[in-house]
Amino acid sequence: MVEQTKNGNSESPDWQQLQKVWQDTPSVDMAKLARNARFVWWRMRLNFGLEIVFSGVGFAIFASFIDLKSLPSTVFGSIGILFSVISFWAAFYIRRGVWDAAEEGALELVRFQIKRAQSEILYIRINCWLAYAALILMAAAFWLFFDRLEILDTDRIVKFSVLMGFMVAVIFLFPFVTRPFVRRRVELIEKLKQIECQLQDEKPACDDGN
Amino acid sequence: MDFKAILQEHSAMLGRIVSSYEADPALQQEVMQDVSLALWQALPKFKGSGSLKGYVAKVAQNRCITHVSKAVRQPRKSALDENLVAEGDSPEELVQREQTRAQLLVAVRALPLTLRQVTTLALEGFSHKEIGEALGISENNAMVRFSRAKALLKTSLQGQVDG
Repeated sequence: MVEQTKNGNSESPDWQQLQKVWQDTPSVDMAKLARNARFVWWRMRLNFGLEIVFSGVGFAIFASFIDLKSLPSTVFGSIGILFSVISFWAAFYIRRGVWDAAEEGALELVRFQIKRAQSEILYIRINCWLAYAALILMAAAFWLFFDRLEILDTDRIVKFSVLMGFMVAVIFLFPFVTRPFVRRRVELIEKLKQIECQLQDEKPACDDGN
Repeated sequence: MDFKAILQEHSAMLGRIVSSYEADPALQQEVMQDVSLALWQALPKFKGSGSLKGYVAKVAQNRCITHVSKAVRQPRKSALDENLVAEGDSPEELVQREQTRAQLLVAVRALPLTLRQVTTLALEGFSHKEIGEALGISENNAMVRFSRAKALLKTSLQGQVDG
């Protein structure tokens, strides 16, 4: 006959012993972890705030170029404003739902993380395209620069050219630098999908890893 | 709600849940950090329905499940923990107990995910009803899973003793 404990779990001496062995572990000092959790929580918000501020400042700076009322400055300012708006949107897009999903069910959380990883990949891809599109911004910057060439000295021209060269290098390197991140995210999605299948153990379709 | 106090109160349970999902001690720290952050975010939303312990366990379980870097690691022997020393324990008893605990951990980690979820909560002393609530399944389903998990656990532990 199976005896029932007050908590409803079937009880045998073996199980009781296992419970005792399981629970017989020392407490962990969580003070440091608690401090770090607070720190990470605030850092997430600070990063978000900084991205919003940078987008806003960028918007204002590029808008000031439109005020110069020349064709090159208007083109440069307009493209810059477009970049700022996309950055602003991206700051929200990659974080949607990120801060309030921990108490959902495990399956919902896994599905949420899959979506999040997918949106991170999309974010990187958008950034790659933005980087290529930034070449247009640079072309506009060159146009603007040479439009005002007569009022600039040699030193400034050299500095500007070095800066532009550096930016072109960054733009071409960006897809290569982000490739390992994308690969890790793809692997993460595969693993998360396996976990999703395990959590739906009633559905045999998941057994073959599909 | 004092986050630090809650974290400290349930630290042993959190440590056990984390260790049932991650064998590597260094990665356990990492998961523990993730769990504490998840709790920091989730605790203000606790509405008081059900026990706080159950809620903490649920959040920890969820975080551990999504910690996918744990995937299929070889079980390894854990080092003896000096903190386990209690009054009246002889060295032999200590070693025996730590060995049993290590075997239990290995057996729990080897369980399929859905059974592992139920097992860790059952080992913590949660009732079937509480397990069902924490995992979003019915009490009957929790009971069935627990029964399957217990059988697998018994086989696994027996195998470790025989092997």
